Amino acid sequence: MTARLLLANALELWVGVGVATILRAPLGVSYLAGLALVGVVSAHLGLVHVTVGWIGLAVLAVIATPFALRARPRLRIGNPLTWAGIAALVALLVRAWPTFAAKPLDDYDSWAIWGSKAKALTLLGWADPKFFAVSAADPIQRAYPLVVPSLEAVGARAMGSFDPRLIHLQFLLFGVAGIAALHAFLRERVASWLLWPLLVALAAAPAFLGQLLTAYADVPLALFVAAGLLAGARWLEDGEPRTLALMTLFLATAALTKPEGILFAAAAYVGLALASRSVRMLAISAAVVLVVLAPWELWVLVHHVPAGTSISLTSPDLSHPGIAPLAFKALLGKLFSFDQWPLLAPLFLLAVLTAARSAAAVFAWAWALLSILFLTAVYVVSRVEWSNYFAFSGSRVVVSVIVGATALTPLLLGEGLRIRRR
Amino acid sequence: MRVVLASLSAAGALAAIVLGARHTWPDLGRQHAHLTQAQALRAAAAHEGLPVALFDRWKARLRPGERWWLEIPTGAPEGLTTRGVVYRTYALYWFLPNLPASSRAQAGIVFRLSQAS
Repeated sequence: MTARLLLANALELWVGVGVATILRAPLGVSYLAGLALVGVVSAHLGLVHVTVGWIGLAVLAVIATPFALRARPRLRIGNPLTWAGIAALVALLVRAWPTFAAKPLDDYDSWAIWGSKAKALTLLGWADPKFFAVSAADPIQRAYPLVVPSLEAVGARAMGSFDPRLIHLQFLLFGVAGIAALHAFLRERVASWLLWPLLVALAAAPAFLGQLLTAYADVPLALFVAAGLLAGARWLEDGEPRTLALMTLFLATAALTKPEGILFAAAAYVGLALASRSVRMLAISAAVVLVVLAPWELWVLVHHVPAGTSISLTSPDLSHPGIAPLAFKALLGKLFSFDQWPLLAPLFLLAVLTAARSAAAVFAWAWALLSILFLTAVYVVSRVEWSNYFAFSGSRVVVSVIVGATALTPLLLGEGLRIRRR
Repeated sequence: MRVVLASLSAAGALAAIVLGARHTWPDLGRQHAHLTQAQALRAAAAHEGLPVALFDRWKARLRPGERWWLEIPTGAPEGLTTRGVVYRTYALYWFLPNLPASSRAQAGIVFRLSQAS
């Protein structure tokens, strides 16, 4: 079964090679881009009774092939630091693999929300409204979009059944794809001595693998957001429409992964607008994100599915704005958690300082600050009592902020050193 | 100044690796589950303290395509939800591919539990 899951992921990687080649992105981005594209396509096709299994994957791979064959991978031997970094990541992967392969689906949201949807997509073959839209299914958070459950279902179909243990490997592979993408974005622009320690520090942070192991969607969301941010930062430099298209792909996928993804994407667009003042291209990109979101939003509308617990803007409770400072402080507490994300938030602040006055620094601090403010606003307008809500979600909603900030950290440090040389 | 800050950051990142790995490495070993296939399938119910055997019996009574309804009191609050909702949620997950009915009247089979304990 594991071999079939790996083969399905190899096809997703191949699809991503096609995407990366079209968009002239570094090839290391391919795996995450492939997961993003297959995730979005399978989630949308699932709404109209089209199942993406081996045949669907094969069709996508065939479409990608003419482009993927044009890819010209550049193999480099690398320096000792690179090898040490790769060795550390491989050691973590080898250590994590058997644990992920044996983990049962027992964390509440993993089976109640993501697992239920993935199992339903696998067994029913599509997002049957008799399951996904009935009010009896309220507890599975009907309004949460389907990218992660769809990718789980693609993996489960490849394996032949929905295995509540092996499905965790798909999440570990998400981690591999994400770290590879961050490395690919950064390797051209950041010296190894800055890049590798931060990349390994992120992968080794207790909350990173710990939260991946829960099979919740928060780390996959964070990786899509982080890749989108790095593509955005790259666009600030090269101004290429293809780079912006890559950012659009990742941010659209983030928006289709969890409702908070929309907030992080919005924060990214505001940050980029502040840093670049090139609003027209950004507006087009944001419009494309909305177009990608549209089929799901339409489905939600047609089936009268109410908003989930996290973003209740349809009926916000604005009666207690006084909790804003409390929620803001509590979120900062999670971000600076020494046990969960040791030193990563302080390192981001140091990096912003290092790159002060650069466009990348403006983008980075604006995105991070807005993201925290948006999350604060979610707790303010939520109808659920905030401290209880925060106790169950606080450590998860900050994952995208800390992973995104950590992805930007080496870039900012590299930028700071470039400013000095000028 | 920028070089000092960048060097400090690299040193901080190396420290972060040590601080993170000293928890992550042993945690990955500790969390390695050793369950049979049957235990793994029912791990969610066991984790939530739900009556595993009862859910198995209910599932065995479902005919292919039959839609079900679970009648259960709301029960005590639990996290962001209630005990009754935990039962209903597990039924959604466990009874697949059988679908829930949209109302009691439309159900092919109704399961009843007098309390959500």
